[in-house]
Amino acid sequence: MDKLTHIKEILGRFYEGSASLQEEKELEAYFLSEKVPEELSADKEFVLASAKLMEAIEIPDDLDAKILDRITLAEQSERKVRRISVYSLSGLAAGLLILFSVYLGILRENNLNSRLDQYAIEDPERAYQEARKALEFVSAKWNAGTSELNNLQEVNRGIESISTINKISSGSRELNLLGNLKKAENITIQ
Amino acid sequence: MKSSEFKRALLPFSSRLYRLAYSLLGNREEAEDTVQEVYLKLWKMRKELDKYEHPEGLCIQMTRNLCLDTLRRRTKTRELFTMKEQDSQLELNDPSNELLSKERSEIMLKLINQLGEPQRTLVHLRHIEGKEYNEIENLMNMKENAIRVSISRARKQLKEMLQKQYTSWTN
Amino acid sequence: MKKVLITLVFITLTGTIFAQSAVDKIFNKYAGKDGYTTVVINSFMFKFLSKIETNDPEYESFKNATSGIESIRILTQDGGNSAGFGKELLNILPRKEYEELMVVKEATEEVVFLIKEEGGKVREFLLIVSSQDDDDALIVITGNIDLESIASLASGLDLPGMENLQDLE
Repeated sequence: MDKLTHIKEILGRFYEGSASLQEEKELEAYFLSEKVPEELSADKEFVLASAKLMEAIEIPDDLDAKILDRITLAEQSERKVRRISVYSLSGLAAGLLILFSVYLGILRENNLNSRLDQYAIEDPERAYQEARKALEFVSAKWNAGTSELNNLQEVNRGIESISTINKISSGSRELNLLGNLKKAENITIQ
Repeated sequence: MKSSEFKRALLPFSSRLYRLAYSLLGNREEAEDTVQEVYLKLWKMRKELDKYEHPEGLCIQMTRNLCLDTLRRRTKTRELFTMKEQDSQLELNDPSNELLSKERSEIMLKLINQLGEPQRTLVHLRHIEGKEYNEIENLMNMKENAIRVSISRARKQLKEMLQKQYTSWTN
Repeated sequence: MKKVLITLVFITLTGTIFAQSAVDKIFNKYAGKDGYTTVVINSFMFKFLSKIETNDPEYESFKNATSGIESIRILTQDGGNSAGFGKELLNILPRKEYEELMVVKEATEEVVFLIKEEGGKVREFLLIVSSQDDDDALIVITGNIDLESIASLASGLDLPGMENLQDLE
């Protein structure tokens, strides 16, 4: 059969999904090199556009580096979890008992911490986001609470009570948490 | 699998995993993030990896799943495909001129990204990674018949979409 | 007899040294439990984050606020308040160990701020939210905490409050 018929036949199977990789390459070669009849111009566009797609996706230069960084971070994080307790045993039974209870204590602490460490975030970006969200939440709640002090007239809000706000002091220094606290001192409702 | 062995055996897959993520997600940033996530997950289970004869399949599956999760989380208002600025250069007045093959490829990538699943992944594996059907069978856990039907549908769709793209330019 | 006594004393002492705090007990009980979300950012991560240099003013303000922070732990009860997690928090956490910084009681929500002070610095900070409509939550921050910096993080922002917590994974 002539070339055109041959190509059309492969094309038919191509659109049925049953052309082999070899035949697909044949199509590509044909459309690249020969003058193509009008009826096949759409197919030409499609086949040529589908060729060489792998090269069209640019792999970032630092992809592998970033992956290794991530893994290294995880490695280090894991190593921190493994705490090694070293004890020496004394001869006295009493000494043994003390050390035994110390061991239990450390084990328990290890268990708690390593139990929680499985929930520890390992992705710095996510850690930043979560930490930021948490702090902003705290901040929002705090600001909302202190601003309430200014709106005591709004009984409809259903505010039942605001307890005393302690000033934090140590020695002579007073921690002044926002100017609002000053106002809060004047409004003490039991 | 030890850490060093892990790096040696699995890091070579990073390019193909990135390409898959890029096909599915449409942008470099998310593709990079996803691939990093995949490797982190794999590393965490490195002790169990020894029992996998063909870890590549696992890697591809994980990448695909993570991408699909990301896609599900996207809100409808966001762009489905955010490409680099080169997009604007694709405004051609006369598409009958010889398009640079690079631009052609970019258009095709964009169109592939718009396909539904599993066609999109199948087209990626066939057209971009050049996999044989029996390889795709293993990777996707699909029978060859189903793969063929899916790819057939996808190709017809893509051809049409491409034509639409061209005619929209001539208008 | 004397030896036994000494032994007993020592055991008790070491027991108290390693005793879990009330907060630790809560985390032990609820971490990873179904229906609860646990988020832990530990000191290693904070050290890492503090070393990152950026031009981003937002990140700078974050570094400022967290400069002394060693860890943040968060427990939220997902989807509603049926189990009374918030109430349990309010009952279990020993208010006398902490100083009550502020309590805000509204019709449907109670928010408590507790701190532990040591040597003039805030070493531990607790935020407890017990809510009828939204998720109950416990946020624990340890380290050298700079409350003013944290409080200014959200000023000017119109945060709806609880919805943020729901995004915390």
